[in-house]
Amino acid sequence: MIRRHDHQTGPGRGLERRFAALGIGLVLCLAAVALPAAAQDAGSQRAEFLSLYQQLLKNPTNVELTLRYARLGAELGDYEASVSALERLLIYNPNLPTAELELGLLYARLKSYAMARAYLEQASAAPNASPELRARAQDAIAKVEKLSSPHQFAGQVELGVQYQTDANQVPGAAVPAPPGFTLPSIPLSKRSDTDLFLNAAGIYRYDLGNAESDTLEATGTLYESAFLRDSHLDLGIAELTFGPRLTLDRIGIEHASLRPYLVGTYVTLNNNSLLAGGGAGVEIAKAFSWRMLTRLYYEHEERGYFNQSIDPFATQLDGHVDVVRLTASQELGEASTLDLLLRYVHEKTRFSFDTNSQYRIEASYSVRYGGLLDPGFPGIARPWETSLEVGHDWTPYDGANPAIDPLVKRSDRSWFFGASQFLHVTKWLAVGIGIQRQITSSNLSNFSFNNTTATFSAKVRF
Amino acid sequence: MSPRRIAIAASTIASVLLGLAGLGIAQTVGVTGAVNPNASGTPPGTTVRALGMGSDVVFNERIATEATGQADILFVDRSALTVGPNSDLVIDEFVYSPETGTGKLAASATKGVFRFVGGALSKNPDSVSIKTPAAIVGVRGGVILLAVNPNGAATAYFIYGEEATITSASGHLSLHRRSWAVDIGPDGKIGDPHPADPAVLLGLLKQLNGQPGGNGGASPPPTEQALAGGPSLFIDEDIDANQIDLRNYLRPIDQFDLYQIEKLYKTRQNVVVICPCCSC
Repeated sequence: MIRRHDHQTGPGRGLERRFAALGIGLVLCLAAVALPAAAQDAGSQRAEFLSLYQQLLKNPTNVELTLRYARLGAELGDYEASVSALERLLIYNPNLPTAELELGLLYARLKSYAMARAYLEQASAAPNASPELRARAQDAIAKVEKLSSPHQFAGQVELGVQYQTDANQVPGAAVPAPPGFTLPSIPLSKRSDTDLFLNAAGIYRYDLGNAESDTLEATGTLYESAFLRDSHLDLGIAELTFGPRLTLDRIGIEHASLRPYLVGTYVTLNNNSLLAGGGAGVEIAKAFSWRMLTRLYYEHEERGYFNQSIDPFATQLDGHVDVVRLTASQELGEASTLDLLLRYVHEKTRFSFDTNSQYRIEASYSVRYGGLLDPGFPGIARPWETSLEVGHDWTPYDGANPAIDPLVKRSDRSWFFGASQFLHVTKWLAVGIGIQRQITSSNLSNFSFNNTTATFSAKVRF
Repeated sequence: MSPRRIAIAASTIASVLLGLAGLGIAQTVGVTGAVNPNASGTPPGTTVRALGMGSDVVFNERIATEATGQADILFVDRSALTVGPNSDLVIDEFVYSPETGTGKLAASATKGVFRFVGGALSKNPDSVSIKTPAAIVGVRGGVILLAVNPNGAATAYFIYGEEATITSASGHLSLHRRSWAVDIGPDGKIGDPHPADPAVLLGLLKQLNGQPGGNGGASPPPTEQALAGGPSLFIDEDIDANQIDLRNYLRPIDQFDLYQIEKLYKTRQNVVVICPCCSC
């Protein structure tokens, strides 16, 4: 039998707690500082905004007041205020291409593209428009044309190099071999390694052109890693989903959508097929007025494994996976976001000792800023982005593995922490470094491991 | 203040306003923020008056414009209503509680072109409505354009916001899609929603956004030179923010999800059972 140990006495348990306390403390402190500061700032701006309107009621033709009111309205997200102020200027003087350009950009931001186009074309055609303004209007018209197309595409690609202290995720000490058993020739001791990786995700949306704004949506995810020492760790993951996104306005739920979809997954290891899966899911997304986006998924996927020379019994993992996932993303102020994740994964395989459930809770906080260290890249107001994340998962298995200990069901617990620092060089490109630490303990010692990952990468978003 | 007290205060204000109206006492609901002649107002129980810049607009006042006339009314709740040329409208009801931002704004439009830009009231459901000869157009949280034909037909353009609703004897329709429009027949028949034609919108804007030779009552009117020298409200990048909205729906694999997938295989390395009795 392979020796086992209890969670309470496992290696790294004290360190785990210290890391946990530090990570949770950091995320909570940042959120606690950011939330009241953002609220206070918005409160004083709101008071100024209301005061400006009272002044405007007494002196509506004051252009300076009108512009201040319009700007503040835009900053506070009260876009109607900006619209009414700028449109009033056009009643005073219909030949104001600057006001028309601003209105065009504003309506484009509000996704009212036909209106945006009407204003931008007026600005572009105005006889008193400067060449610079005309060029900006033409540029915006081209963007509006693209944004109002029924075909929309967005994505991000991250390319980088990462170093892992325990790339094969096994305990620091060699795994004890049970009597009468021969260990396979694959490395069973902790090994550090460096890999090049590509992590890409894309989304394509086709507007069905109905009044409900329903769309067809396809998403694709690709991950590839190539290790410098152990090529058998090379991992490839491809995932595709496809399905309609139906808005729920039709049943009285605003800013919400339902998306039934099909999902397909294909994973390779060491350039050999490891698994192929297919299934279906449903997602409900809802955006709240307090700038929170929540998404709830349920997904079921049947998975089939391929035996390989390195693992001739991989097909015993055949089965299915059920996932319930709830995410909430809350914008705090203008440039920071707090994300929360709750996830349940049930992995059903042929044998109960491989069948497991995973419960995860995860929080992350990211903030964009400029300040003293702003390198002054054109068009980038807040070039620096700092992110922190912390999470925990618990994975109990359904049955005991007789090859390890017929009396003990495996149960893993992981804490993970991450921090990254990115510099946005352009709107599309950011480069940065990251560090992640995972501490996994198990009641079976050969599943406990700690891994630290250091990453340097470039991200392109489009 | 408790919700119950707020409700009592709001209903008190409403009762007072309605009472004052009943007594024929003019209650100001806003001011004219811009006027191009000829535009006139007829407060209840009085004679027609020419609207001037900064004129008080009162409850139950009728606003009428001629071929070159325009009026932009700034309501106390920060709503704005632009009345285009050859238009006729009555402010039927205006109740507003600044403390709660609740109340009601109702108007009747018999002909012409109108633009309503919402303020505090329109943030609430069923609070803002414009009655046309054949239907009632409601708006929540945004901007609508309304073209009313003297024969009673109308077209409502939902430009921005949460919702525009059309209610007539023949039915009810909610429109959520921006820059879309709905035609209403003179008999109240509600047509299918359709995308607003940018050329038609441009034509409506020309009727609403100032008249050649007019200055809307501003003296001197703002100039392009004065505006062009100021800071921009929006930088072009803001349009790209729409792209960010789409990116929210990506399904990337994060570092810790990778652990989940990798774990399935890698930790199995530790439990691969090798038969001890043969080399099979």
